[in-house]
Amino acid sequence: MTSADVIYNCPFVPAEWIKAHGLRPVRLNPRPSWGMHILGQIEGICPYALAFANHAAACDAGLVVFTTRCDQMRRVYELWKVCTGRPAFLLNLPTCRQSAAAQRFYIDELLRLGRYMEQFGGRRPTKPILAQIMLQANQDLETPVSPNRGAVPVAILGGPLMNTDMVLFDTLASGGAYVVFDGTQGGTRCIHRPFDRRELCEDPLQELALAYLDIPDVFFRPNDGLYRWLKAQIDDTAVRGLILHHYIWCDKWKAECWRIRQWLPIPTVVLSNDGQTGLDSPGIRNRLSAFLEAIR
Amino acid sequence: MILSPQKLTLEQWDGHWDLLARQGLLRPEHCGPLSRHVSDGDTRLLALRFDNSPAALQLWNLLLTEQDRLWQWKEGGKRLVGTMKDLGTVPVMAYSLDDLVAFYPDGAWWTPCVMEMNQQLLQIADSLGIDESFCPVRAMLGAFVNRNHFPIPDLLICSVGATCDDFSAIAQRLNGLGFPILWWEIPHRRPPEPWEEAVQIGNGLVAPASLVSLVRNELDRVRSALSALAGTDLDDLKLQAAISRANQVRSLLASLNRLAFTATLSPLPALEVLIAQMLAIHFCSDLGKTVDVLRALLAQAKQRVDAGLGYGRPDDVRIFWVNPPADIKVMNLVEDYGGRICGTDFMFTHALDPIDLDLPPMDALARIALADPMVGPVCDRARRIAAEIQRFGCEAVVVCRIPGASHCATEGSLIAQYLRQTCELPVVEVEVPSLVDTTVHVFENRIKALIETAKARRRG
Ligand code: SF4
Ligand code: SF4
Repeated sequence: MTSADVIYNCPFVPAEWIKAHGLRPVRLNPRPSWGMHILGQIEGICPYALAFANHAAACDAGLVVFTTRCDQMRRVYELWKVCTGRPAFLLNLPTCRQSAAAQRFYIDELLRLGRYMEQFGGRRPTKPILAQIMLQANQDLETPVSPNRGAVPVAILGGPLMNTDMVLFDTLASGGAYVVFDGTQGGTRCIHRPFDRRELCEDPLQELALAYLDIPDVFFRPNDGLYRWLKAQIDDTAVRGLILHHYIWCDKWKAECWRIRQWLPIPTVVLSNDGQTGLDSPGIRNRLSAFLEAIR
Repeated sequence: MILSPQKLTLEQWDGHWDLLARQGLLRPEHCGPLSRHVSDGDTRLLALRFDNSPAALQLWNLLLTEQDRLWQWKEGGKRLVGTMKDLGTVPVMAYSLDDLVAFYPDGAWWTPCVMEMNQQLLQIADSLGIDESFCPVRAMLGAFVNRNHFPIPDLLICSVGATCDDFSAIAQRLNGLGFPILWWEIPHRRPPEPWEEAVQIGNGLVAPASLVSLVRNELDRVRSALSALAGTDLDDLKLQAAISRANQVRSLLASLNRLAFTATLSPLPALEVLIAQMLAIHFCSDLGKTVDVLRALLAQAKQRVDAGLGYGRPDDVRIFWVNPPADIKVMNLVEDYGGRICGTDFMFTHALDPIDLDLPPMDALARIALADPMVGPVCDRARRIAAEIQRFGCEAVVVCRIPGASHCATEGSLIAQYLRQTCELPVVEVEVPSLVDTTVHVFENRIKALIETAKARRRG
């Protein structure tokens, strides 16, 4: 890491905004906290939030950005400050995203983040610079997934995954499945829609904010957008089963699991992750293999 | 006539009731003996001990008759507003309009305790996937589903944003079950940046003017919804009047707390002080009766203090209590163990602070909403607690953990750490479940150890 790196994990921190300030966005895919407890080991904290904070604390440089997307992360930010004594930025996110006031609020927060980045060597971007970076981002978005013939189409939905949890994709592949859509935090669900060319020429920051606020997420109230997105994905693909993933103590995803299962027309399996055992345990492998067999 | 303070069991209260009635000390507002609520299912009452004053009886009756009152209001044509999570702000707006009655469905938080799990509310929540990894507020979901605990409100209003994940998640599930909700944003209260306009929001707190303005706009949406429900305009004059009445409640409570926490002997037990404080949130659906009850309690407390009467001994260890206990019985237990509650933060201190009458009312309400200890940084909350500890001369702190609560793990340990360093006092963190009975020995050991430590420190 270098001092020009901006470390974050939340999909509502726009990478384009960081780049426009001349800094490097580093979206951390944290490793589990095993034995490395800069923040202490406290029962009741989401293991992902703790892992992110621990991993960020272990990075010797860089500017760290937390967000208020959930209570756990908001409070881990405070723990991080106390335990590391290092500065960090807490980006306030609006929960009622539909109101114009909430949109203005998000834009103001991005501007505040911008000023913060300026203190750490960032440059305030001009409109054309931001617009150019957004246009480039539009091109980078075009990454079509190639279907894997003969394999069972499944989907994954849930919050973030830690780097060791990526083994889930291997487990599914070795079980004869392929992932038609990835609705976890690192997947397509949390990639913003393409920026509107005309809008971004007029007011790029506003278009940036609106595109990010369109990301369908579980924390918005109401969270209908998540269900609309899920329905569209299911209608568009031949998905046969859904793997729902949540960490223990992640109330927002855990609470939705029951509703999603009721609502979906396809079979689902819920993986509850304690952040320690990981998704590579024999128990989880067995459950997944039984699930794939059932939906084959 | 001054009654010597004495804690009574429910059974003893029945005999005491007869005695008071014979002596002509009871009035119609005392309703009836407390034991009648046991047949309604409030069985935890059998495990509690109550203050023997008619004022305390009035307090308990006000609390325990709320459900009946809500049905009566509804049948009488009032429109019910279920306000959720903000604890203290939206009810002031709702009570500005005569036709509206506001209450907190969140109050079901205590139902598993008061009804000793008899109502299956937690089982209903379990069956909907909301298990014990969520805090006791999950009982609210059960109460909406079984419809036995309160009438379904005509309008549900919920604050979200910098609120706990438990509540936000459960309210969303409620919404998914078909209950429409008006969501309003309460953002995390951050310190103002050097370049931003900052405003005082009360109790030494400052916030960026932009946040106050956001909350005011959000509350304006609430105001419109309330006006539409009542079919009449909620103007500033009506709001001013309601704020004055809310401030009356807050001022009575401030006086009551001062007496309870500073007199040589405590004029009221900690349990009754807790219940009295809860009245600040939504006036137990009856603002007028709340004022009457608080006046009676205050008069009773003053009489006792003047007569040198009270509970405990002057050398009882003075404890500051952080967070509401899921089982109210622990308030009795702490006193049994030789502790005395001399300061509290039950997570709604903003509902006890006066609302600024010199400001335009919506502005004043926005500021008080933002002063919620749970939406700001932990250090703000810890600083306020430290100031109160000093003000009331507390010698020890209990940080009560709420099972399943998303904020407790981090917040509790940060508060404990801050207080240990700043106030140099012994602090314990102790989890209190909805029924403490099965873990009462753990609770007893921890509180007694805390009390011993505090006493040893006195000896130097
Ligand atoms: S997994 Fe859930 S609780 Fe954990 S940081 Fe993400 S949203 Fe928050
Ligand atoms: S006790 Fe804590 S977690 Fe539960 S509803 Fe209240 S603030 Fe939320």
